[in-house]
Amino acid sequence: MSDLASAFYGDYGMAEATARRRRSQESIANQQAASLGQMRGTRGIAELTRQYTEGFRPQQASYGKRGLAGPNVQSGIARAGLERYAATMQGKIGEATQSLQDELNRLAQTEAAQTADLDAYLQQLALAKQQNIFNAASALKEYGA
Amino acid sequence: MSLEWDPTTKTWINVGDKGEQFDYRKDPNYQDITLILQQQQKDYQTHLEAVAAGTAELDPYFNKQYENQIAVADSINSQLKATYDSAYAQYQKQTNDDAASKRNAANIRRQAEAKAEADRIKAIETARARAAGESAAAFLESSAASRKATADKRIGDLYGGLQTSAKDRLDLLLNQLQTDTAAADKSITDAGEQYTKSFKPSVGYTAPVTTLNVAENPLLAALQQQGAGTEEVQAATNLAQQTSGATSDLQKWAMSQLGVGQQNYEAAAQNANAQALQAALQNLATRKAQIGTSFQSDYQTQLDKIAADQAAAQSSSDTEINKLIDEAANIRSKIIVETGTTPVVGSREARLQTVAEAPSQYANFAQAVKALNPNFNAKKSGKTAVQAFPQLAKAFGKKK
Repeated sequence: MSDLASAFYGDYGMAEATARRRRSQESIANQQAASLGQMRGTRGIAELTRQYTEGFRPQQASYGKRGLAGPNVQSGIARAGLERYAATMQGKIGEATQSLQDELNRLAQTEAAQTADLDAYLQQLALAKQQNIFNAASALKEYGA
Repeated sequence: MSLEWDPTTKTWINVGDKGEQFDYRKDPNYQDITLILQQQQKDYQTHLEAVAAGTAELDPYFNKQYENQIAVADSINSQLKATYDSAYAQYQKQTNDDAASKRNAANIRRQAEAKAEADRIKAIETARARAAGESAAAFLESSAASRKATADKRIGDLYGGLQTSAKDRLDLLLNQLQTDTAAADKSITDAGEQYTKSFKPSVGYTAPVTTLNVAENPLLAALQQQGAGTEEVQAATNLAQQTSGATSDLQKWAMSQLGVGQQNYEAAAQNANAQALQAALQNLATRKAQIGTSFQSDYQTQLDKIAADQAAAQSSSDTEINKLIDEAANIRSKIIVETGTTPVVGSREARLQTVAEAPSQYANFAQAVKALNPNFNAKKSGKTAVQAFPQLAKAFGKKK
């Protein structure tokens, strides 16, 4: 194989295929992570919602035991306490939602960075191949040094 | 004819018949002693007879008178003989002188003829030697010229061919270089175009940013039923929403910034490609020029070597040919020393040389006569060719 032919073909194809294969694996891993993260985050939010929702009645009852509330009657403390309870719940859900979003975006960023890295690598590879072709062609090595 | 040995010249001399004019005995004054002796004997006999007869007394000196007469006669005869011998000697001398003169004349004539013949033979030999030498020299010169022409042509063909081959090779290499350079240029340009064409800007940082809304609190209805406020819950919801929105915005902004960075990187990569393309084309042009110059230099080196080899071959060839020319010059020089310079056309020597060369030039005497004397007409001249051209005839071994 001549230098020029070697420059055209060489191991660029193999290197590109390897990079793309690795990138595919990374992408699958990222998607899996995103999917699992989404499932975990969603489940966490649902669990939080369930816990806080189920805890609302006991919370409300605790105020009645303490004489701060009765049927259709709520003291200010009880109302404030329930609102705080709901706000805390909302804050927790918000944190869980933010955490899920952060994880998804982190994965998206990882995916983007890895895609960009792959593109940059392929562009580097193409440029190196290009320069190799240029050098081989312009050297006219058949005519000696 | 009478021959006498001449001791002075140690030769026999033809003295010829003396004749009576040189015979002193024919001289009137010649004394015949025989007659005196006969008279003496006769007188002495008479005397003896007289003595015997007693008429005379023996005279013991009877013969004395005769002896005296004889002596006188002998003296006279001697004088005569001397006179006649002297005359004869003069005559003989004159005769010998005449004979010697004739002999000398004959000798001179024979010597002159011999010398003329020797000169003729010598002249012919000289002419033949000159002709042979000139022929040899001319052959060598002609051979040298012929060989030089042949050698020059061979050398010219060989090295001219080598030069042409070198030029053809140079042209071939330059053409190949041009082809290869064009192919390389196309490869570079195509690769550059292909790079640009296939360049895909990254869309990685366009990944969707999630903004989650916080779910509405399910206890709101219960709170309202219990107469509790919902503001705090709403505030918590609002805070969560704001936090969600803010972090989402921050995330988007970060993605956007990263996208800008990616775009900058891609622009830099494309610029790098453009610069590399330009540099490659420039390098290719430089390399092409370098290689072309190298070819030209190699070609020039080859031409120089071919020229040097040709000069050496030419010199070697000329040296060998000059040996022939020198040998021809030596022969000519030797010819001049031995036979003199080439005779002037029309001169006797030239004629001699022509005659001497004739046997080797013409098949026979008749052809030589016809060639050398085209105007000769035997009938008009009244001579045969052999008579008219004796020297030429001699050269062909003919006799008058």
